[in-house]
Amino acid sequence: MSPLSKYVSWQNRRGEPIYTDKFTVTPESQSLIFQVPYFHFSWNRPVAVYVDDGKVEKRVRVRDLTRIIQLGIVSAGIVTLTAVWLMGKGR
Amino acid sequence: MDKAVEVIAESVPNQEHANQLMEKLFDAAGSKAVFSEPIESGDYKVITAAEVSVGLGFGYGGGGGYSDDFGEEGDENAPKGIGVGSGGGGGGMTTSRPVAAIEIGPHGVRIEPIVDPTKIALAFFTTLVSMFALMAKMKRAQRKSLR
Repeated sequence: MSPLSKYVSWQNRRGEPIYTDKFTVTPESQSLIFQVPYFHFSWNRPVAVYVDDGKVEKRVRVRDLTRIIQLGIVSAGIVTLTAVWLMGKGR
Repeated sequence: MDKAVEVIAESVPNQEHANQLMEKLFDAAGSKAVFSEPIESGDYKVITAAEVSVGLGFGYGGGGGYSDDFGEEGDENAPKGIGVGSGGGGGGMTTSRPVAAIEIGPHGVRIEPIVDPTKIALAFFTTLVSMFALMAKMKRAQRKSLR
C-alpha cells in the first residue's frame, strides 16, 4: 500500500441488485475518494449495469453524454487554437 | 490537580467523532446515491443514474486550564477554578447531475442518456471566450515581435 493510497482511492462498487421476472440487474459505480483527517471529498459516477438473464451476464455501459460533448467542445477548442498558433508561426 | 486535568481532558471533544460522522454522511450521500431506488410501472422498472460529488470538512478544538488560587481554604471538594472551552465547525457541499435513465422491461434493459443543455452551452461559451482571448494575446505578441 503506497502512502498516497491512504489519502486517495479509486474504487469500483456494485450496488444492490434489482430483480424482475426475467432479469437481475446490478448497477456498478466508480468513486474517487480523497480523505485527510479534517476533510473528505468523493466523486461518484455510474459506470455500467450487469444484466443477468439466468444464462449469461452482460455488461451494459452507462454513457455520460453531457460529459462526452463537453470534452469534445474543449478538445475542439484546443485543436483549433493550436492550429491557429502553428499557422501564425509559419508566416 | 489530577482531577482537574481529567475534567479538562474529558471536556475537550475528540476529532474521532467528527471523522466517524463524516464517514456516515459519506455512505449516505456517496456511492449509494448514484443509482436511485427503482420506480415500478406495470412490467417496467426505472432507475436513474447520477453523478454525485460530496465534500465535507470538520474541525474541533478545545482547551482548558485550572488554578489552585480559587476555592475556600480547607474545603477539599471546592472547585479549584477550572475553565474549559471548546468549539467546532464544519461545512460541506454536495452536487448531483442526472446521467441516464435505466429502463428494465420484459424485453431487456435500455439505457436512455440524459443530456444537460445548460452545461453544454456553458462549456461552449467558456471555450469560445477563452479561444478569442488567447488568439488576441497571440496576435499582440506577434505584432510586438515584428516591430
